[in-house]
Amino acid sequence: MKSDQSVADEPSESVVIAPGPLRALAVASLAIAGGALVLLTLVEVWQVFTRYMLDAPAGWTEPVALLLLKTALFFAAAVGVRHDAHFRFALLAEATGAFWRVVLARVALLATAALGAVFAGWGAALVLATWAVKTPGAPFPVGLSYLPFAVGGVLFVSFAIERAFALRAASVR
Amino acid sequence: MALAILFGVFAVLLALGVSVAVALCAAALATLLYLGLPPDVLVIETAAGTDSVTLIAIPLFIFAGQLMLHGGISSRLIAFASALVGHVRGGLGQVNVLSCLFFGGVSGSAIADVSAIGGSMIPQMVQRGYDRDYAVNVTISAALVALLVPPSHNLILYSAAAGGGISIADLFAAGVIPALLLTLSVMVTAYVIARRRGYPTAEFPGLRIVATTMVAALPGLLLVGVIFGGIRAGIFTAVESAAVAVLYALAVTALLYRRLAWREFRAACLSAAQTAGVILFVISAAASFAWLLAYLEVPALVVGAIREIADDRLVVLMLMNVVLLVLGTFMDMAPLIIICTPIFLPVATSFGVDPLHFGVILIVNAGIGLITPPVGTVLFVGTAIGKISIAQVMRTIWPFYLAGLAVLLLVTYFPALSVGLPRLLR
Repeated sequence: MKSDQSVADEPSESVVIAPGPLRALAVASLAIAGGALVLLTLVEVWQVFTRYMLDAPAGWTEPVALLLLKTALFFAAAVGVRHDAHFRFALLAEATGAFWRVVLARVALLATAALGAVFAGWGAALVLATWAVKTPGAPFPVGLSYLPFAVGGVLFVSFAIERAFALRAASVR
Repeated sequence: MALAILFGVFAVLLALGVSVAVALCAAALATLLYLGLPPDVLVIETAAGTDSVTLIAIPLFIFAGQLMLHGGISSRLIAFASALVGHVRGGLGQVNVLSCLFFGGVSGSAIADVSAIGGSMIPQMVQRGYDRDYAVNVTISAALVALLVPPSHNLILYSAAAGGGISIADLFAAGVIPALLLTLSVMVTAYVIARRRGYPTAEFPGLRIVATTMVAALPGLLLVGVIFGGIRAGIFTAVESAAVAVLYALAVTALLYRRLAWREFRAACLSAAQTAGVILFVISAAASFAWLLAYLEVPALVVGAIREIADDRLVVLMLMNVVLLVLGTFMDMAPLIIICTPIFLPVATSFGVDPLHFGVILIVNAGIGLITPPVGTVLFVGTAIGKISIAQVMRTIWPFYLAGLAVLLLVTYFPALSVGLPRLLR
């Protein structure tokens, strides 16, 4: 046996965007989510800076941060549909054969697409209904905070349908 | 009937392989329609689920952890741990456990722990003659420590699921002693097995090497101090401390270690976004489900039902442990916390259990679930890195399960282990 003293470098993993007809849309969605995360950091740091350095805490940071959180959430979660990254239990599917695994996976994707359609439809209705209402302390309408729902819903539907068509028996976990 | 629809639709969709978040929303929608309530409650409540400022800390802590992961911190932490405990019998096992504790203080995530530390340590251990099952068992058991040390995003998740009224600073403090207990229990278990299997020892490298590796690892280790100290001293809120942690991680990895180029930054950013998106979507989806639980007075029903079975706090805690352990084998961490907190926390508090104490019990239970089949994400990642089957790991993991269960019992029946430190620091 060899000595116990030495250290290897850590793995450098990255998100791999799977190929497919909607790959460009997935890349753009994840880039928007990542960008929202960076902006979220800057907004929070600005909040600390204005409080301690300028002695005048910015009032707009909280609603803007929440809008960025929703943007990051729905765009990244939609890409998660495409990459089968969401928490789920495939126990029944694992107990069945390849054919039924594909059928069950398509049922799950159909349910996801249906929920996406609900988000898109009702989200859009809420955007329109609250567009004229100003968000307290922020320079944008309340309706904007529902926009990630509506756009995210459309992305959910798109990625779920893309994945349902792309499913092959060997690719279903 | 409404309850049967809520839980029935949820269970059927889960069984069909629908994602937890979608199943939660679909069950809520079906129940809303049955009750004749406006269906747009679903979108309004799901939106409200992300309106908690506390939640902003979760993606930011994940981002900080990813920056550290991609920016060269883990090799320095492993080097320091190696200098400290590498000379003990089965030294690489001890190094693995200590590295998981250190890295847990940087990432706050068990999956990140097992990926970063396991990715380095498991191949090294196998190469040096340690059995694969041992290498994987040590790594996945030790990785659970990350769930309890600051900046554990699971503790923030619990605070959010509890309605945001539980101080995150107190929760971070509550996890520290149980995390150290878990580390100790895994180290002792790993040592006993290492002796029985005759694993090697190495020479102590000397205090100079210990000091050198400590200096190299210190900027990473200080992240915990920045977060914990900043919140405790009232300088930052939990969310602001998460943003400062991101900046700190950027400064350490890009300027000090010089390992974070644009490529690594982009990878960390996208990886954090994807992970955070999945977790936040479950939180958001669970809001409408939780709204219906409250509307249908489920917590009060559960409290009443449990009071009929037992009236003793210790028995109730044991019952909850059994239920949570069973649920933990089937459910992942985030959904378990989000779904069980609104149901079990009122039960616990009605029996006089401190919410901080219950939070730690919940996290330890859910953590053990992460290394038990059929659904154990940390187990899956560990076995994938170790290139070994789950069945092979299961044959020899039981001493580590016993160690985890012993810590769970200690944490359950000695509340001071969780609530003592937060009270001391107040």
